[in-house]
Amino acid sequence: MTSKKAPARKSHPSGMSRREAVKLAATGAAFGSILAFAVPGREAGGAERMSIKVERMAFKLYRKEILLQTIALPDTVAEELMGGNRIALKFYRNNVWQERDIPFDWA
Amino acid sequence: MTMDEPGLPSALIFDLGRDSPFSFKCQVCSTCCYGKFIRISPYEALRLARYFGLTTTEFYAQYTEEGGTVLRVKPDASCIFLTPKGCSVHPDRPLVCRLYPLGQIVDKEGKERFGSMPAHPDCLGVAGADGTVEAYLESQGAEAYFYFDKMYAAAYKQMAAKLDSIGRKSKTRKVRRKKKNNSRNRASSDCLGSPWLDIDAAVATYCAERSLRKPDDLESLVKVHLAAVEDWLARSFSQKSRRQDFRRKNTSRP
Repeated sequence: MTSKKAPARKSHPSGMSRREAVKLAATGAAFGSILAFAVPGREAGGAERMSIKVERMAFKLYRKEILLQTIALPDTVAEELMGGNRIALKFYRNNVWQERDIPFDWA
Repeated sequence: MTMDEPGLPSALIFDLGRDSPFSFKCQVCSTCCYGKFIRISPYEALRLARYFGLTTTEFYAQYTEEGGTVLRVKPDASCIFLTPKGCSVHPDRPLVCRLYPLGQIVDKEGKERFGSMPAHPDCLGVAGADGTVEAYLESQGAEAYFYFDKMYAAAYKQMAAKLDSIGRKSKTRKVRRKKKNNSRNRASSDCLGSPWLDIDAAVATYCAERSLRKPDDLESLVKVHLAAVEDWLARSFSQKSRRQDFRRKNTSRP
């Protein structure tokens, strides 16, 4: 015999289920992102002077013109890279780990 | 993080209004089509999709990443729509491409201001003060985009208000969560961040549920899309609808 749990049992204090809350958060984030809005009470570039910032970094793997995969870097790693550090690609070939620097120039 | 390397603009100053003197004569050098992060709204996606004769669902799958919020770029960091002859989607290009080199912000009171970005060192465009910001926006066909963005911004504010209320209530309950890796939480390139971005899919579902005819023209599609989003916001988060959903799911089980 199985007992069915009512959805309210797993609900958020607001009365909303977790699933709905996650869906709302994802939709809010997507719309906020494309409309360049931030959290409530703020607006994009609200300050008189807006610095040009690096918001995110990602490795993008292409086959010719086709994007195969995007791998986003955590913000903390991106911050380190801004300090003039290098990016290297490490790969396993012929039973040994090999490493190659990826040439790049922030300018 | 601030990039202060030589050759890169370090700051934007939003000190222009619609009647401020401004002009820009693009020389089609395509310099501005490289290395950009072009975010697209549902309306922009709809226009671009129709330009190719696609549904928005197909367009998001083929041309966007970051959960459908950003246009893809080519390996040389150029826009996916850039060709040797220039922009291949020029009549339906996104708002940010129309505004360049202007940037726009809207403050809390709804007042808009514009800023002129320092030109890229290789940009051949000629900036001047022969016209006004208003005239430039008109020449670029930007008004329709502002109009629909305002409508989507209103829908976003409803979402933000609901999220804000959830956040406040959450603070009263201590929840232990594991901190997850940022990169693992991001949507993959072939997955929409929210199904509500996809106008064609959302409108088709909304109209089918109500036995309505799906509109063909862009303005009606956007309006029905916004109605569907608002309906979802109002309906999905009420206790009553959750109970109904729960009952429907349980009765449909074998």
